[in-house]
Formats: sequence, structure tokens, C-alpha cells
Amino acid sequence: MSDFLTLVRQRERGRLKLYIGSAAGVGKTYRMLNEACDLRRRGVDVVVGFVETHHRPDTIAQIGDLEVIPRKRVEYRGVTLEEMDLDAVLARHPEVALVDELAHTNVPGAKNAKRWQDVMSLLDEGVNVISAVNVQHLESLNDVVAETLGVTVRETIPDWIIATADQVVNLDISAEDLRQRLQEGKIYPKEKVPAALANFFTEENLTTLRELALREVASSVDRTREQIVRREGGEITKERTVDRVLVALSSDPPQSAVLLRKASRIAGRLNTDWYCVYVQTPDEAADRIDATVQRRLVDNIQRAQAMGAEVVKLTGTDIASTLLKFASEKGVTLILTGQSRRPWWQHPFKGSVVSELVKNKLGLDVLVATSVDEEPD
Amino acid sequence: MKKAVEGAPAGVPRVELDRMERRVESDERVREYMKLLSDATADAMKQLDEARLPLHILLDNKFGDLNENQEEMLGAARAAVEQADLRLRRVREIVDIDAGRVALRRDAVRTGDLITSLLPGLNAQGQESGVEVTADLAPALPRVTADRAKLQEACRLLLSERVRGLPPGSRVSISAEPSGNVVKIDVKHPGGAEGTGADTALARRLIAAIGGTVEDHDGMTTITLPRN
Repeated sequence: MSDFLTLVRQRERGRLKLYIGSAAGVGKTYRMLNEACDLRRRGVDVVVGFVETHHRPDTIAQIGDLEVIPRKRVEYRGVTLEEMDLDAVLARHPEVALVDELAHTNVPGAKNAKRWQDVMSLLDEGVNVISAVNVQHLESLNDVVAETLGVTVRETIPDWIIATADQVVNLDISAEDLRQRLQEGKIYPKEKVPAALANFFTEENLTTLRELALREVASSVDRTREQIVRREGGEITKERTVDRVLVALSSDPPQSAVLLRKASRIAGRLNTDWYCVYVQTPDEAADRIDATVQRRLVDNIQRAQAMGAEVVKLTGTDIASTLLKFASEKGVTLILTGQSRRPWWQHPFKGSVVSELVKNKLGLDVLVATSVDEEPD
Repeated sequence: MKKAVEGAPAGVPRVELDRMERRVESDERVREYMKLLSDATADAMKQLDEARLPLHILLDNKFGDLNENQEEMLGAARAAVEQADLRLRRVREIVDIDAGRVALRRDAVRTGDLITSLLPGLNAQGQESGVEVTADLAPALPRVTADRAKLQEACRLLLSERVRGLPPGSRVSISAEPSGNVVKIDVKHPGGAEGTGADTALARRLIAAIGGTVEDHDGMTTITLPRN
């Protein structure tokens, strides 16, 4: 949460934090409200632009005494429609605004056709936004969701919105836990539960959506190569160097859990951010990677996120160069990697990622961790 | 018409008077067309809202859940109506600008931030058709005095037009730097991508209303904006 607060204060255009979930009921709105309360306790001017509680008592309780901008009401032939009052939020100009359901289509006649456009308007005017969306609303996943789940999602957001977000957080919950919540009536009214369990909220659907969300978040933090070159006095400016830590995650990681724990501890001691970076080579493209390996990779990404890492997926043929380039751009000063799995005698012929990292000329420290977790958690 | 001619100085040749009469007639006709167009589009948009609202209410499940077929049909209807509304909105905006009916704010706009905010959408558009979009912006670009929302819309429309319809493998390069009292945004693109539709017409008018200019020549579009 402190990362977002720091970002909030840095730039004129607003910053966007996005919570992504796999389905209704994972807790996106709840977490947004929770974060808003925390920001307010720390003196940040935060308001509720629009949240949809779906009458869930736990979520409603989270609003507490947060300032809520009254909704705009549109009456039409006895039907009342409510929307976020964009003009009112802009006029209020808080430091941070909560705006739920990013993929929502606004009432006809609204300034913008879509809520994500409202969010862009807020960001343009310097208001920072915390928002939420379910993964199936991404345009690029429309076909996949239709094919695998048999569900056509009408309201979508362009994928580049995710790429624009300054922070993306995946709210992950197992299919079993989500179904449990549903059965307890925490997501939909009791009368709708049987149909929901039988149709959308099946184990298979929820597992598929969960994996899509994890993959999407891992991809989203793979920052699109900067196409803006900023010149200052003829030289390309470098990002300020800070003591950041990077863990190089491989796709078949017997040691990964140990590595991640060590990185988390070191980052904690240094009180710094840490990255968990996976470099996808052509052999490990989505259509080639072994399903078991991919599942393990997804599990480790999830583990890294839970430990507080910013997970980044890069693509490249030369793993070591790709990692070093990223490290240099992001102000990383320490790289953690596991030991090479190649026998030492193969190194001169087939190379070793670890050797290449160690030999780096960027002044980066490299810690080659053993597979033994020496310190207790 | 007669007044305009009556007000003409004495001794003006008949030919010149006839020309003046025709010009005045033409101006009046243009004003009449603008009013008709403005009124017609306003009415049409109101009627479209009458169609969009019920569709929105139904698709929002206000009267109960819809089955898949119902959702599909209603969704298709809504999409078509929204497209029609967007077209009319463009035309309406053009007419309003020409009639001097658009009130513009005076914001101090950070040009760099504005162009940067457009890049993700342009990149996504370019990726769909295999067009590369790059940007090279001078550091600390000066602010320009403009209505931020209108300027952003104008730039988005123009830049999007330059990317649209290009063959795969094409490249669109955006650069921006200060030049005296103005900020120049250059968009280099394969020739012929200038665009002549409502989007470009609106964008040019918005830029002009802000006090800027748009010039197209030999695969380069230059947007010039007055500095703050």
C-alpha cells in the first residue's frame, strides 16, 4: 500500500491501481474499501466515486464513514438508474477516488460511454484512482472465455488499460473457497446460489478463470518496452538507482520456493521492493510449455505475489542479458538466483545463466542461493 | 440581402454587386443548413437515447435475468444504436464549432503527459494491424493553453487516423518539441494516411479553435499549438 501512496504523490497525471479478480465475490470491492480506509487513516484525501456492494453486508460495512460522492440518478419510465457522477467527482477533486466495475457501460447520455473512460478522465485531471475488474472483461480474453466457459461477456475493456495501470493486484482465491462463499450466501442471494453453482461457478470455470487472472497479471507487469525516449542534455536519463532486489525465476523450479523466501527476507531487511522475474524463451512459449511446468510456474508466481514481489514476465532468447537489462533499468542492485542445474563441465560449451549473471559488468551483486533454506521463516 | 447591397458604397459596378448578393445568399444558406443540421442531429440523438435507455435497462437485468439469445439480440441492437449516436455526435460537434457554440476552457496542459496518455491506445491499435507506433518527446515540453479534454480528443482522433488503414509493417513516429512560441508535434507516417472523414474534420476544427494549426505534407502531419 505504501508503494501506491508514493506513486500518488509523484506525478501530475493521476495514477491507477487496479484490482483484478477471477469472478464475482473474490473480494475486489471489499479490498478497495479496506485500502481506502487505510489511506484515509494516513491522511490521504480519498472518496468513494462509485462502488457496487451488491448488498453484501461485509462489503457495506467496509464503507464505514468514508466520504461517498452521491450517485447521479436517471429516471426513465419508472425505472431509476444510478451512475457515478463524474462531474461531481471531478469538482471534488480528491487525491484518490474509488471507482468500481471498470467494464461497466454507462447510462446513455452520460459524458462517456464506458466507466473506464470516466476513469481515464479522472486520471487526466490528476485524480488517482483505485478500480476493479474481473479478468473475463478483458477484450483479448473474450474468445477464450467464450470457448472454454461458454459465456459471452458483453462488457469489455481494452487490454491497454491494464498496461497503463501503475499497479495491478490479483485477488486470488481458490475455486473451492469461492464456491464456499457462494454457498454461504456471501456473494449472491440464497435463491440464486443453486443456479450459480451449476452454471458459472463450477469448479472448472473458476479454476480456468483463476489461471487466466494469474497469467494476465503476470503479463501485465511485463512493462511494454518504453517507446518514449526522454532526452536531457542529449543523454538518455536513467531511473534513479535504489537498492532493489530481483529474483530470477525459472520455469522448472525445484528451488524456487526457497529462493523466494530468501528474497522476501532480504528485501524485508533492506526495506525495499523486490521483483520476481521470469524470462520466457521461445521454447517456453504458451503453446509449447509443458502443462505441469506451466502449473508450477503459475503456483510460484502466485507465491511470489503473496510474498510481496512485483512479478514481471519478460521474453527473450538470452535469459541472462534480458535479466541484466531489466535490472539496470529498474535500479536493481542485487540479483538472487538458484544454482545452475547444468553440470560444471557443460558450462564452457552450453553456457550458464548463473555464470553470465555473475560476470555482469553493471556492478550488480549476484547471490547464488543454495537449495537449503537456512533461516527459519 | 437587399440591405447588404443597399449598404454598398455608391459607384460599385453591377457585376460586383451581383457577386456580393450571391455571397450573402450563400452565407445565409450555409447558416440555414447549419441550423437545420444542428436541429436534426439534436433530434436524432434524442430519439436514439429513447432507444438506448430501454436497451440499457433490459441489458442491466432490471426486469430479471435474460437468456443468452435475448442478451445477444439486445446487445447487438445497443451496439448499432451506439455507433449511430457516435456518428451523429461527431457531426453535431463539427456544426457547433463552426457555429461558434463551443465553450472552451483554458487549461495549462502538459503536452508531454497528454501525448503519453494517448500512446497505449495507439500502440494497441497499431498492434492489431501490425503497425509500429513510436514516440520521441523532448524532455520538459512546455505547457500549452488549451481545453485539455478537447485537445486530447483532437490529438487522439488525428493520431488514430494516421495509424488506421496502414499496411502491416508500417511505422508511425510521433515527436514533439518546443519551437519559439509554439509546441510542434510531428507525426511521420506513410503518405496518404491524412484522412478526410468526420474524425479528421472535427480534430482540425478543435485544434483551430484552440489557436493551433494542422498541416499535412509528404507523409508528415504537423500539429502546432500555442505555448502557455
